[in-house]
Amino acid sequence: MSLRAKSLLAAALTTVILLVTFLVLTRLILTDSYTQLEQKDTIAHVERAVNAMTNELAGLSRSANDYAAWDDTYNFMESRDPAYLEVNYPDATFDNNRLSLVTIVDMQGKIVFAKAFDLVQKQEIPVAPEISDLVTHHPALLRPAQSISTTAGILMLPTGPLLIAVQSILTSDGTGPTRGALLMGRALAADEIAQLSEVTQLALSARPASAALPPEAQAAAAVLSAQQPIVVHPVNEQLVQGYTWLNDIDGRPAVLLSVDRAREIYQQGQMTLSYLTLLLIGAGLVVGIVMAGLLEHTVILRLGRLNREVQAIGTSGDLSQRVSTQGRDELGRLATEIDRMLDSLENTQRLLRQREREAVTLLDSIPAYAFFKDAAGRYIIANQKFCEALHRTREEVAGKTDYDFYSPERAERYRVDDFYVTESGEIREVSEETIGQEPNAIVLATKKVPLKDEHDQVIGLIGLAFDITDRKRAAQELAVARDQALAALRFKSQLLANVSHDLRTPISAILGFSEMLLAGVYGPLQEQQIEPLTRIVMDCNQLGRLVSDLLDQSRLDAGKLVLQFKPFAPKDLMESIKAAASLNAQNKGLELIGLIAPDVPSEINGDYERVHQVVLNLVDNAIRFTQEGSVSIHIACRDAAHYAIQVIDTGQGIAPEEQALVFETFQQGSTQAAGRYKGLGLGLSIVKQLVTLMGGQVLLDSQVGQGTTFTVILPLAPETKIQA
Amino acid sequence: MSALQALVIEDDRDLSLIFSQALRAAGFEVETVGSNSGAFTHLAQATPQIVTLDLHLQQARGAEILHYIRTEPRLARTNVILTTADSALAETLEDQADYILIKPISFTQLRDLAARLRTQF
Repeated sequence: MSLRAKSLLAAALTTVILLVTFLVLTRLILTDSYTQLEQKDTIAHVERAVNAMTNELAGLSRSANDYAAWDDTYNFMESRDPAYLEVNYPDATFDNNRLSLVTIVDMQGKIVFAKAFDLVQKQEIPVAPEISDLVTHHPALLRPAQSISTTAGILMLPTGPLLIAVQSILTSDGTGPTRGALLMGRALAADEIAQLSEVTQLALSARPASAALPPEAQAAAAVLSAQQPIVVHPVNEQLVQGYTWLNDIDGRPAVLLSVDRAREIYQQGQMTLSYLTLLLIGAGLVVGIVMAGLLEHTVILRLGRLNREVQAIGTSGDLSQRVSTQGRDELGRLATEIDRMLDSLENTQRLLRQREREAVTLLDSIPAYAFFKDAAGRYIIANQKFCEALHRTREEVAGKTDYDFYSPERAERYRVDDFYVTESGEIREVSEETIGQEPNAIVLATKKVPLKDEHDQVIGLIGLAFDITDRKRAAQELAVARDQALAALRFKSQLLANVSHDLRTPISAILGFSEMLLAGVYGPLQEQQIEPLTRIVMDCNQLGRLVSDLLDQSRLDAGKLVLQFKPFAPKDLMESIKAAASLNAQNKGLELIGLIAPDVPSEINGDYERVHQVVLNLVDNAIRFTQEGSVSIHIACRDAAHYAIQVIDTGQGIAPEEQALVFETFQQGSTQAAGRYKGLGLGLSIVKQLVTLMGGQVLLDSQVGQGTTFTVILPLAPETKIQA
Repeated sequence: MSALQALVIEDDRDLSLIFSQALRAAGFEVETVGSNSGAFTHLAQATPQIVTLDLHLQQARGAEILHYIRTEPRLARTNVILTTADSALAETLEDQADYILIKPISFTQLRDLAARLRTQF
C-alpha cells in the first residue's frame, strides 16, 4: 500500500470516526433533549386538560351555587311549591347549563326533586335508580348540606362517570340555616369530552376505570401513581399520548384521561438531527479533502519525488547525483542527510575504484597468469596476461568459470583444486602442469591462495600461474649438460686413476731399483754413480707426488674426496714430515727446522693423511724455491679452537701481483720459477682445496727477496666428517 | 725359532722383486705370488708374519685376500702392508690393514718398516 493510500485512509478513517462519534453523541443528546421537551409539552397539555376538567367542575359548582343559594330554592324547601320546579327546572335549564341531572335533597337525606336529561337527545329521561341510592352510597354528599359548603367531583355510576357539584341550600345572601342540598350533575360522556376537546383544542379521550382499556392505556395506567401522576407514552413516530387519572370524589381513580398529540417536537428534533448529520458529513468531507490536499502537497509529493530520485540514483549507480528536495522540515533534513550520505558513498566509491585500479595494475604487472575467483569458481577479475592467453577481454572473463574456457577434464581438475582451497582454507600449489603437446607445450606452476573475509571465512581464491616453460627447458638442458659433465668428470677421474696407477707401478720400479742400487744390493757403487742415482730417486718421488696430486685434483673435482678424522699426535706429524723432506733439504743444503709450541695439545683431531699431504706439499714447495737458508715448520695454537701450521722459508718470495694466483689450479708461482721448476702447478691449489675442505684456511705472507710464510689454520676438533 | 716368513702378493714382476729384496734385506724369508689363487693356496699352508698386498692385483680383489687373512684365526698375528697406487682405495681398508704404503714405494721405506716389525717377533 503506498504512503499516499495510507495517508488518505488515515485521514478518511479519522474523519469517519470523528463524524460517527459526533453524530452518535449529538443524536443521543438531542434525542434525549427533544424527548424531554416532548414529554414536558405533553405533560403540560395533560395538565391543561385536567385544568379544563377542573374548570368544568368549577362551572358546574357555580351553577349549583346559583340555584342553591337562592331564596326561591330556600323557600321551596319550606313550601314545596311545584311551581318553583316547573319554572326553574324546565329542559331548557338542563340544556343551557349542560346538566344531566339535578337532585334536591332535604336535611334528612330524602330526595325532594330529581330530574335526568339526555344532553344528546335533548329530552328528559327517567332518573336512574342508582340516583336514589346516591345519598346512601355517598353519605359525604350530605356534608355540604350540613356544613354550608360545596362539593364537586366525579362520581362513578353504573351508567358512567358523572361530574357532580353539591351545594347547601341557603338564602340568597348566603345565610342559613341550611335546608338541604342541591346536586347538579353532568355526564362525562362522549359529547362532554368533545366539548372539552373543542374548548382546549386537545384530542382528549376519557375512559372509565371500569371499562376495558386498550393495551397502551393499560400499560400507562399501570405506571401511573401518586409519584408519577402523568405518564407520557409515544405510540409511534407521529403520535404521543399523555395519560392521567381523574379521581372520583372519594379520591379513587375513576377516569383515565388521555391526550393525543402529534409528535411535532420529536419530528422537529429528527429533522434537526438529519440536517446536522448532513452538515457534519459535508464538513467532514471538506476537512478530509483539505487534510489530504495538505498532506499531499507538504509531504507525499515531496516524499514521492525524494523516493524517485533516490531510486534513480540507486538504479543508475551514479553517486554524483544529488536529491532536489528542499525545506526546513524533517523531509528537508532527510534530503540533506541523504545528500551527505551520497557524498560519503561517492568518496568511498572513488576510493574503491582507485583500489580496484591499483589491484588491476598490480595484477597486470605480475609476470604470471593472475586472477581472483569466488567460492563458486567464477572469475571475478583476471590480469591482462591471463585474458590475452584466453583471447578474451577482462569483461568477458568476469563471471565465467573454467568450464567456459577449457576442456572438461582440465576445468574439472582446476575445480577440484579450487574446491580444496575454499574448503580447507589452505594454499594449493601445483608445481608443474604441462599444457598442450610438444613442441608447443607450456609448463605452468600454479599457486592458489584462499581469499578470506573479515570473519575468516573463505570467499574465494587468488590464483597465480607462472609460465615456467623456459625455466623448465633450461633446467632440463642444464641437467643434461650436468649429466654429461659428470660423466666426463667420472671418465676423467677414472682415466686419471688408471693413468695414476699405471704410472705409479713403473715409477715404483724405477725408484725401487734405484734405491736398491744405492743400497748396494747389486754390489758397491763408484763415487760418481751415486749422484745420478740420487737424482733419479728424488725425481721419482717428485713424480709420485705429481701423480698423487693429479689423482687428488680429480677426486676434488668429482667431489669424491673423503676425509677421515681421528686423533693424531702433532709430534708424529712433525717427525714424518721432516723424515720425508730431509733428503731434499740435505741435497739443497738447507736447514730444516721443526718447532712445536708448548701449548699445542699432544693429540689433535683431524685427517692425518691430508694434513700430512698439505704440510709436506708446502715444505717441498719451500725447499724448491729456497736456494739458501732454512725452511721452518712451526705448529702453534691460534686460538681456543684452532691451531696453525706455518711453513717459513728464506727464499725468493712471491710478488704481490702473483700472490693472488698461487692457489689457482695450473698456475705457477713465478714465471721465473717456472723455468727452474717443471710441474703442473697443482700443489698449492690442492693445498687450498684440502684445507678449505677440512674447515680451515691458508694465509700467504710474502715479500720478494724476504722469504715466504704459508700459514695453515685448522680446527683443533673438526665437528664432523666433511665430504666434498 | 724358525725363520720369519713374508709373503709378497704383487702381479708386477719388477715390484715383486723390489719388495722381496727389501723384505730379505730386513731378514725375512720371502715367497712371492702374482695371482689371487696363488695367494690363497700359499696362505692355506703358510703362516707368514708379513704380507704385502697389492690392492690392484689382477684377477683378484685384494680386499678379499685381506678379509680372508683377517677372518682366519691362524693368521691373527700376520701384519698386512697394503701396497697401492690408490690412496683413496687404501683408506677404505685402513681399519683392516696394519700399514699402507702408497706407490711409488721406496725400497728403503719398506726395508726399514720390515726391519722394525721384525723386532716384534
